[in-house]
Amino acid sequence: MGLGFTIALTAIGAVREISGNGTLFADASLLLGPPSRSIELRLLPADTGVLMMILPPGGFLVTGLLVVVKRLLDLRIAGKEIQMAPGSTRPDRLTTMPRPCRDRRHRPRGACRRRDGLARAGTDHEPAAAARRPRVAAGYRDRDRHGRQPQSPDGASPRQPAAFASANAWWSVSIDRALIKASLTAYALPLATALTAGGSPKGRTPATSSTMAAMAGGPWPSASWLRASGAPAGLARRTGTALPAPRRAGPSKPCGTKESVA
Amino acid sequence: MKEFALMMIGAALVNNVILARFLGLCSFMGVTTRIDTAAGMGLATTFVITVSSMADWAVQHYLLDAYGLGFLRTVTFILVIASAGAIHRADHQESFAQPVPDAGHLPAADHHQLRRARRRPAAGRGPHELPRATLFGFASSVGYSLVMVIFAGLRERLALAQVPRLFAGPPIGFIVASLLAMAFMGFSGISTG
Repeated sequence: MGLGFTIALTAIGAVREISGNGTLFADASLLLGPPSRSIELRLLPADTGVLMMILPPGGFLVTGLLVVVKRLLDLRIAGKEIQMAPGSTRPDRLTTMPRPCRDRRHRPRGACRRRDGLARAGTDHEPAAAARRPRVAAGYRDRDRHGRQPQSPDGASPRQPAAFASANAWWSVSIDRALIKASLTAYALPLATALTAGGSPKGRTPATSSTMAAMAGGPWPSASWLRASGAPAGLARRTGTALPAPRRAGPSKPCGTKESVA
Repeated sequence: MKEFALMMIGAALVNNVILARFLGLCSFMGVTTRIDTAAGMGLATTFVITVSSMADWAVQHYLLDAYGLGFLRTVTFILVIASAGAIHRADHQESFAQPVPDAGHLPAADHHQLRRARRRPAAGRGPHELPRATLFGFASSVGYSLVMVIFAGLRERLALAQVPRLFAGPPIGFIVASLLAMAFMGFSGISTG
């Protein structure tokens, strides 16, 4: 229990320190001695942290979110997933049900015998125990062993699971899940690549301008790292393929003329 | 007089023991499911903290300082606070013939945490520090009671709200507490001298 408490406190402190100050284990050498100076990390540029995270509201917020993450991990470990309550039409009333086709402990015999995902309760592919289950819970057995939604027999559109009482509820949950995936793709992925790209040239060229330039090229971390490290310019100079850099036209030279460039 | 008023406002709102100092979080999350239990806990804490403030001042002034036993201060204060809690509980049971389940049970750790919040005024020397220490303890516990009642009201509304299953219970409570702490940060602009 003490170890779990230590892990929880360390996790809360790490999240708050990284997001609030951009560092991890800052000034740990004051507590653990000079040998621990190697674990002092700066993960974000200075003065880029969120002030709220190092103030009391950040502590409450991170604690609540970490409890949610813990619950999510517990569900994953137990082989369950967040699904709609049987008969509910509100997407925000969620409950947990066993994931039958992924975890052997919760899989009834023969429930996932057919790989095309069309096995339904009450058919000849289901045992009698599974057939006695409520009809509303049978829709999630339509998923294949990889958790994907099956296609309809004609292959036109995915079938509406029977767990949802109406098509609107199913579509709203589907849209919610798509929005979550899209937001993760649009926000977390560029952020991660920007941080990676911003941190990569930090060791070679500690100038802030190179770091900012690399972070600006977030979706292309390797290219931005090369740009920030100056490798393409050096390569072009050595091979004689460097293009002349455009310059601002002087007051006596009109733009677009040959003299105004290079 | 003005100094005392500013000190009490600072103790109750600006440096709130729960939302600004992270003290007393056990009862903050455990007793705030209903407003009546939260109010009972707040009143009991106010009584215990006020009484123990006076008792702690007397012990500090006439015992610890007089005999050079300052290194026993924390242990002695814990004993005084636990005694005040026990006295309150016995008196409550005798007066009302039945204990209030949560408010009657006063965890000494919470009161010791709240007691830490007012260590500086209570540690003052001289007889004139007695009203200052007592008022500081009273104001701190009033701020504690205020936040407990506000948060209990919010949690009673949250119990009827539709929240995602993963956020139900303590997580959404912590997030609401975060918003409440942000609101109380607005008091930081008040100059308390």
